[in-house]
Amino acid sequence: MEKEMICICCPRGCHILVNDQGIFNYSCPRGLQYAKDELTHPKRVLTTSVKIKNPIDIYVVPCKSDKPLPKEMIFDVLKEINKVELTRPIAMHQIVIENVLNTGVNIVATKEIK
Amino acid sequence: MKTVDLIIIGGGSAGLASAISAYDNGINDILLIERSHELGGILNQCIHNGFGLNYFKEELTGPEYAYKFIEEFNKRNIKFLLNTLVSNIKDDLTVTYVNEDGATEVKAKAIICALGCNERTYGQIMIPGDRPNGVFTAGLAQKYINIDGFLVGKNVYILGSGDIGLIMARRMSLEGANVIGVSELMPYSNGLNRNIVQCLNDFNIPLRLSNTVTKIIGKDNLEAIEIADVDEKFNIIEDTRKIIKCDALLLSVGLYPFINLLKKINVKLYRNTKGVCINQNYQTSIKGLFITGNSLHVHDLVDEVSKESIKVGKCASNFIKNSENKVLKTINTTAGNNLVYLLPNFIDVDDNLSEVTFSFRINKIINKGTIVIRDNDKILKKLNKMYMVPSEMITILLKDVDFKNIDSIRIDVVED
Repeated sequence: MEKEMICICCPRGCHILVNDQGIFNYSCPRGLQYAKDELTHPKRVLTTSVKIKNPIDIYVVPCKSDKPLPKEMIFDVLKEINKVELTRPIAMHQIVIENVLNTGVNIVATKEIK
Repeated sequence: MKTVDLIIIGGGSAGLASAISAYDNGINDILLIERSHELGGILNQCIHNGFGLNYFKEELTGPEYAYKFIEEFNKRNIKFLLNTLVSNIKDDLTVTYVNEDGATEVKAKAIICALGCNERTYGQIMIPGDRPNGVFTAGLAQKYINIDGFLVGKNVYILGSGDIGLIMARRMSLEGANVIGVSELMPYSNGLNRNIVQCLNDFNIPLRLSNTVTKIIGKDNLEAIEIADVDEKFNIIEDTRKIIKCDALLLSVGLYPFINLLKKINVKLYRNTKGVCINQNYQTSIKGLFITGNSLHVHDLVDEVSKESIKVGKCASNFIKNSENKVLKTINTTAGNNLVYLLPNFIDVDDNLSEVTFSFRINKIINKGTIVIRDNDKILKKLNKMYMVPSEMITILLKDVDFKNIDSIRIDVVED
């Protein structure tokens, strides 16, 4: 078995090689972890937005998962986020959903809105 | 007329970093002018992550990256205006701005232009056919979805595989749109590999290389597009024409510096960047008028914009404090073989000049090559470099040379 994958951890985009002997051509610990996850259980950081109930100028506030989420759960998590409406003021990294769908991952706001 | 030491036009990543840097270099009388209702510029709509790995050594989203700079900016006592548009600059460094209070003129000792860049539109790439609603530049669609909360279409096609196009492919998919595909005129993508993986492959969105949109169809609203393959000379291959039904077409077909304000005055323009000429201190051909960020040349990463703008803030402060040395001579630079552009365009040599950083882009993929800096026949520096691509800006430092004895500088990239 031999597989080449492009690391998505940073803009460098290392071409990581995986074969029977191990994992090669990564440049940092994050790259190694990415390759392991990608082979066993792929994960992604989700970035999206949440509705603001009382908007001025900006109608949605950006948010992200504070850790990578299992890739196959992304669309289920999006459904949960779509149920939420936030009220201004919104603090930077305010929790939007705690432990979303029991993943141990929080959805947090990524912008301060006064 | 009001006077200030330094006017900074633009409160995005370039404007914020240059303001902070100028302040920290002793210039306290600063006025920053921003046309939007908030600071942060285009970062506010770039809600995806991947910013800051270089500068902050952590992975941030666009708004988080902006927040770090806005916090630093707010710690300093820097005056700024929001919802304010600069309508005119004169070559004596007088700026006219307009806002709710009307029009105001201010004279500065120096100006830093941090105006960002524009997206190319479909008029500029001349796609034949109708002109219905539903055709957007990718960045505009990004603003609609991430700030205003509108989805611009349900069945979306994307022309151009630059990073914004790829990011929008994912963003539209996450919000429930069906992204039909992405066409790229070139035989390779201009986007980062990581974005092809996480924005296209993750969502099974096909990328068609050497393919383009050949017709826009729709009376009032977009109904369909025609796509076709192209040969190596970009001629359409007739029997590959194909109609695709869609209600939105996003264009990610290039960015160019926004310098409309500067075209009215006598600034020396630079065709290769579609921007302006600068010396090694980021000063344009008008004394005291500096430029930075994407309004100088389009960068790959915001981290690079921040770094550049911190330098520019310092250069502008030195100019205001009159601590610049007497210019002994000026050296012109030339973009040689395989270079699209080369900055700076000229080097003002003084007694203290010890090094110059050059930035350039190349016009094709070079797997193994040599960067050669020369003064006529004399080679000043040679550097071997692997994997050079048009989508990555290259910088090279020239030092340990006697600039006083150099007549001209030319940089070539030679394929090995």
